[in-house]
Amino acid sequence: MMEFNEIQNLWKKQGADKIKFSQQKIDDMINQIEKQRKTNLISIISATIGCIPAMIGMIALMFLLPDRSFLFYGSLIFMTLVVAGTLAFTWHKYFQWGNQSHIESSQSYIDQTLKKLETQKMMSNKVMPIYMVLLIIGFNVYFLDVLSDESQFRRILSHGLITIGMPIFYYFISFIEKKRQKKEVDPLIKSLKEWKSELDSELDSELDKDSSTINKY
Amino acid sequence: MTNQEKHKIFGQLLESNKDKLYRICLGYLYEKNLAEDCFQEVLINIWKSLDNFKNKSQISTYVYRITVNTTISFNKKEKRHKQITGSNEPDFNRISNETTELGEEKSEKLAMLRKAISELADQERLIISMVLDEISNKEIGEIMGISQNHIGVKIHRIKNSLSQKLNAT
Repeated sequence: MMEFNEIQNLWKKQGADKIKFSQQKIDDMINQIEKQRKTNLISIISATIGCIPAMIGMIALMFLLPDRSFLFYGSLIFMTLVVAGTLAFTWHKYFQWGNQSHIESSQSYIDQTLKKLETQKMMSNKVMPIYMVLLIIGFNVYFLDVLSDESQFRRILSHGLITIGMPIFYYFISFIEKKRQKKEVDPLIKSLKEWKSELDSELDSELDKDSSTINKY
Repeated sequence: MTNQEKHKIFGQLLESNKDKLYRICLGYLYEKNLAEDCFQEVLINIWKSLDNFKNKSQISTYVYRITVNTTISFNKKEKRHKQITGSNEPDFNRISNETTELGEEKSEKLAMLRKAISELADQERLIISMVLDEISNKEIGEIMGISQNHIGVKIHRIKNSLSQKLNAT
């Protein structure tokens, strides 16, 4: 029979030096993370530089063409808001880089991670289809005004391309996302829920113990 | 914090804690290959979180929290046990050079210990890994978000369960 001290000593014989993990590998890893962070920043700045003139252009169009229909202005405002919203969301995600829940206690980490994963799932399964439908409506409304003087064939073609093309594009994107969710997100949510219920039941039993102690007096 | 300062703190943290952090991963995942992958994720998360360290807790508690939380999330890859070993039963003797370094008897005992730990529940595996590394009950409580008293009771139960499993083999 092994004594606990013996077990402890035995356990400590296993060190990180036994694995193939050199200082060089760690430095490479850090450089890669920092490089990736810089690349992300550059792409977000480029996207912002690209999107801001487009937004200014859309707003300018509203003032330069004063005699257009409500559909024209409505669709331009909608598209400007969509672009601005997407940009804001991208910057928000970038600034969340170092702001992680890993530093909290496991109880609060699990709560925060579950909330984050479920929000992400809800965004991609429920909000994105609505966003896509609104985008299709926005484009169609814009075309209704802009293409009003074009031939019927060109109008039908433009409306058709947007109305059919965007859902097909969305279908492929969501297919990949659902596959990822099934493989990575769902098992993680399941496992975190198991952890949560285990930790919660312990807290409940502590509360029960406290209340039974209070009842004694 | 400048990049140079971050590198310095990270290097010191790693030097003094890497073995414990690795053993937490190994205790929970009980397979060297998985533990190595998890350890790498732990290091990435420590690096990413360094800017947020505000001296509210001990730096060791801070890195243990990151390690435990990363390890909990790493559970999503649990099924990889099957892919690596080709069966549900991992090979507890896989760590190379162990027999030559520790000797036949100790190496066998260590394999038995790893097997016994692998049979514990998820939360128990993480807690016992920290206990075996002499992390205090107070610190374990702070890491897990459970009161010190409750952790004490839980550790007592886990130790009993581990002894029974070791005696049974």
